[in-house]
Amino acid sequence: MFSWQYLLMAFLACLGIVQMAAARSERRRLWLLRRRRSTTLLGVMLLVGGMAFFYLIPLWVAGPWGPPDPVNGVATWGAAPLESLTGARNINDTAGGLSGHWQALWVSLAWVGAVCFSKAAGRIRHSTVIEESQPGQDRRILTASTLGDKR
Amino acid sequence: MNADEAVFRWLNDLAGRSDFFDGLIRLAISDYLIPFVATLAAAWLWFAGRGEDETRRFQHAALNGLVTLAICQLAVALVNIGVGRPRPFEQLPDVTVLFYEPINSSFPAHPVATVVGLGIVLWTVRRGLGTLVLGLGIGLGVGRIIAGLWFPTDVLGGIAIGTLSAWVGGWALARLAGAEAFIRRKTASLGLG
Repeated sequence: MFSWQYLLMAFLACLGIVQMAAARSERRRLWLLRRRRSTTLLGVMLLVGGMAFFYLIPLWVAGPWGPPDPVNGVATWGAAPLESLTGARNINDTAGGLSGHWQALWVSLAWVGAVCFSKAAGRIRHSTVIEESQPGQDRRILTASTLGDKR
Repeated sequence: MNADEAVFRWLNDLAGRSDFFDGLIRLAISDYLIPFVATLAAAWLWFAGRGEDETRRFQHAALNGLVTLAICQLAVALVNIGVGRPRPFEQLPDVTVLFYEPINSSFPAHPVATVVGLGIVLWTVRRGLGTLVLGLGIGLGVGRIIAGLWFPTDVLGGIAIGTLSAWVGGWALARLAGAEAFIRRKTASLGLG
């Protein structure tokens, strides 16, 4: 469960980074939205949202981050209380957390997934934009850009 | 008491005084926050370049980051074979611990080495971003001293290994220009360059 939550965070954050980078460099084929500013904003929201999801979900989902046992002080299985939320995700890899190697694997997978998703979605969006354009519009744009002021 | 222990005591005394501060430290030193942010910053470089020259420089730095990461992991694994230093809470009495108690060697500070290595690579192409990541790496080190997990010399060791890894990574990549050109050609042919 912890791995899936980490993978989802990594995917959303990587998707956000791809969008922010593609917006900066004008790689429109990777954009999920039409405008540059909205693509950047979406990227920031995905990045922040993905990380917020990962760190806030222990409030609602049970795991080894529940309230401490009154006898030995060890965290019980349950949803995290608000006061211990910041430490809820600090779980040793021997106790259900992720080792560095697994983190590297999940982040690599998430990056590949985010790039493929952006490319596929960007292709669909791009083809939709072309279909929506009026007949003969491409020819008019080409003529205008070629002849410019001479026309 | 040596200087290492004195600085450790001074910083670790900050823990356990305020719930808010302890919570902030627990979040900042998480295994899944600062190293992840540093990795994302390096990944951002791949698609962020404007124009041919900047794209080439940024993508070179992104590949340099990957090579640096690999060298850094290898270097830390090799040092761990030779040096097995117990954690402060295993060696000293009355240490306040704000984190789970790791069982691996205290030296060197592995996540600090990783983040500093990436920060140096980023700094070579984007001064502001590189400085931010380096600051986060040092903050992670100081935070984990406060949390009772590392001695200051463990953090200094991590910074040294990260710096050395970035330097070796840059040197190695400069000698693998053919491989770099191949990767960039292949990714460009897939529309991902």
